[in-house]
Amino acid sequence: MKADTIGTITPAVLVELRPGEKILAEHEIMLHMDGQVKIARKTMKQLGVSRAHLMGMKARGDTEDAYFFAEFEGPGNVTFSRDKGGEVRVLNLPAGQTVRLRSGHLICFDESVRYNPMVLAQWYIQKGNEREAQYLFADELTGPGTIVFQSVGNILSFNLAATEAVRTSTVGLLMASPSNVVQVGWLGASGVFGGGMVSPVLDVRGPGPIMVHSGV
Amino acid sequence: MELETLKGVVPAVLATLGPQESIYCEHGIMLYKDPPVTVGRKTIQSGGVLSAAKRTAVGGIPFFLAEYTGPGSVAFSRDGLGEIRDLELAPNEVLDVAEGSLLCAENRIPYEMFYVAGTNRVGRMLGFWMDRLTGPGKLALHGYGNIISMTLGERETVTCDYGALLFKSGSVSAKSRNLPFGSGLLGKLESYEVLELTGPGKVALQSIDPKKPHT
Repeated sequence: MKADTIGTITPAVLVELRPGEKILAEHEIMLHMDGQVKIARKTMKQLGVSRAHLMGMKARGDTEDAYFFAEFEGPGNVTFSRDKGGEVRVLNLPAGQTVRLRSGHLICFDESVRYNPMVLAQWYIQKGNEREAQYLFADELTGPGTIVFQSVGNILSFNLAATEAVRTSTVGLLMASPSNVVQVGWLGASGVFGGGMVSPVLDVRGPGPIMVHSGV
Repeated sequence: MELETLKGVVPAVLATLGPQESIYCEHGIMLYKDPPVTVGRKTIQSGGVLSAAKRTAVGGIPFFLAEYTGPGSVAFSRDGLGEIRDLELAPNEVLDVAEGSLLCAENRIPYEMFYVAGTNRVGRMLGFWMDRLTGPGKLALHGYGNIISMTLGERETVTCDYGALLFKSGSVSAKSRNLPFGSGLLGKLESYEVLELTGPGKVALQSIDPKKPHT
């Protein structure tokens, strides 16, 4: 596919499809499409995601993953928008390269890209007398093929060396690679008024490229 | 009347009115005005009592528009990220604008509303209203997000999301349609409710659906 960004503040993505070329996108983010573009449904099962895996993800709660993607087949143009302010990135993944993209930010991807929903990080927060599990869901995408995604706000990119690490908020991490280690840390406030008040953060270690976004 | 766009992430439009010049807009979107500018009410006369009752009861659209009369300046904002377009309609040119997108229009432009029916299915049971404006005259629109413009040829069709349509020429038809995802009961049940626009004429789309949260 050939993907171009339209606009700046709340960008849309214009995808040009050749005859027979197929892309997958989340349902209901299409802005417009040419009359000759065909639409179909591609279930997670057809993408190789097992029912047990999907049910496990659903059981954890807040995942935005549906059980199918909308499939668009060319020839023609399709535009997508996530109705948010931010940056759109088009990434060409070579064969075998994998990225882990925060769930809810994927716009579309080539049919040749392998898709797998996953939990990137997990932590617990105390609510009254109960511990509640929190998850960072991600879309694991493996090349070859093109993927298009959008951040909320601006994207900051880092290429971490093996000995390097960054600390981000739990909502700040947009993308990581499988070589990065993502661990949950805790920021605590000290003193009489701050004692016991802690909030989760993500410690991301290299090696590998990561992206952080500035919005929530 | 002169229209000037006050550019920015959340843009506004500044209308400069001569003595006795009037413009109308939706009530409640004024940003500021000069003291000499007077405010009045313009009743929406479109489609009779039943149509007005349907618009207000189902669509939540008010009975009237606000009317501002010069001399002086008045600014309007839709309080959203986006772009503003100033347009000048030629005599008898018809423009259909999605509800909640018109910023202001010259008082000589006749104003009507019409309903685009939904698919009568769960998810898109109801349609939406559009403002119909007929030239000559100037007007300003707010497009949420970025505006994508195109011109459709005779019988040329484009399919778009409901919230994506900003405006279209009166000659462009808009029809709700189900795009089934596949064959079989499940494929037909899970269809995609879209709007099909057929030319000839101009179409403008917006990259944000104003009815969805977009912060």
